[in-house]
Amino acid sequence: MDDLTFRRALMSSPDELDEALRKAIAEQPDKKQLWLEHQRLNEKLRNAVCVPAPDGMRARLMLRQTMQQRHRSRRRQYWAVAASVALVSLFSLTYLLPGNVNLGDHALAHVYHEGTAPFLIDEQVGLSQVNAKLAQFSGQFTGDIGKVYYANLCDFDRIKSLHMIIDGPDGKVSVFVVPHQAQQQVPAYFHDALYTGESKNLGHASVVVVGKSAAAVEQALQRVSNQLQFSA
Amino acid sequence: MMMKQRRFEALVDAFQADLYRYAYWLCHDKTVAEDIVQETYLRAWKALDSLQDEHAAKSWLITILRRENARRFERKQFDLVDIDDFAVASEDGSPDTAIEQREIQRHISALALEYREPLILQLIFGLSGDEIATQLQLNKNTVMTRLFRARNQLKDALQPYSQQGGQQHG
Repeated sequence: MDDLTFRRALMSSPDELDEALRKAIAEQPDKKQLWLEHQRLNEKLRNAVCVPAPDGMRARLMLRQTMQQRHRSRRRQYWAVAASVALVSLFSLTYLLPGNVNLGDHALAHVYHEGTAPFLIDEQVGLSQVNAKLAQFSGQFTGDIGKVYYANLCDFDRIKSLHMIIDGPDGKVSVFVVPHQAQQQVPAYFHDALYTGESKNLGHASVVVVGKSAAAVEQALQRVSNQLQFSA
Repeated sequence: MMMKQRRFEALVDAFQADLYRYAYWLCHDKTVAEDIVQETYLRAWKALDSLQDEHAAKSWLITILRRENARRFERKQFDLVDIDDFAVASEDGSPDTAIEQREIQRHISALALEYREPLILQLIFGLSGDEIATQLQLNKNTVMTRLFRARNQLKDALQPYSQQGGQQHG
């Protein structure tokens, strides 16, 4: 085997040695030396590319999968209800069609079916991490929005949105940044027996905040909206 | 459902770190890399029933990850971090080794994607030339040429370093 072919083979794939290469290494000391040099280089390259995975990534992967599963089963329930209601009321069917969304109702539903899981974790999310996610909607926070415990992109009734858990004056609140789509209804205020919510239209998207007290929700909504800008 | 859950967890445990590394070397951003891995596993969960052969799991996940990465470009191009700005933790070994490793990382980042990607697939997942060719939908000769050029460029770039290191270590 000539030198050039030997070098090319080692440079392309030092771990894939065919019979001819093995023979050359075994019989010729200079080729063995070359092979050892390539092994060393390859080892260095392998060490360099083995960057550490972020702490807690496994837990976050499992959390998202669990949420997705709950969301899907919830969605199946929605459709089961929709199918029944459709038999008696055309109006109800229209309400459940994709796109004709009341964001207030869905914000509450979202908070309920995610349960306590997002409230129990503290991922200490930095502003740059939140902004990397917001970049998908051409948005960014221009300044501090306080402590962010959790931030992830989620499926908000088929609209990809940013979901955060942040600090409020008397406990954590849920914040959604939902890009605008046709036929979206965004009530300024909404509530049920347990939660209260408020939203603000920022042109490209709405910010929806859900929490247990109206004062905390309003304060968080102001804080988040004041720092949020869209470039497109 | 429990069976599906267990299969999913096994896939997470076996491949999450390597998939993260692969994503990282495609996008050069830790946060974006984790997002890509998150999306990859969500897709994997939804399509898990279609994975019949566990031996194919690695290439199946790599294919999903490549699609998720491409989707990112369809949506919006993230600002890429300048290669001089990123820092990759390297806590093992001596300070000299750490500096050299950082230097190698900088040069790998600077490789064109068409050279970098097959090299990363080979180094991280241990894929053969044939497997890389299948994954990237290229012929094997093209893959081997790109691997050769990638290593050649790195070898040239690191030459002063290895000479220094060689002298130090006698």
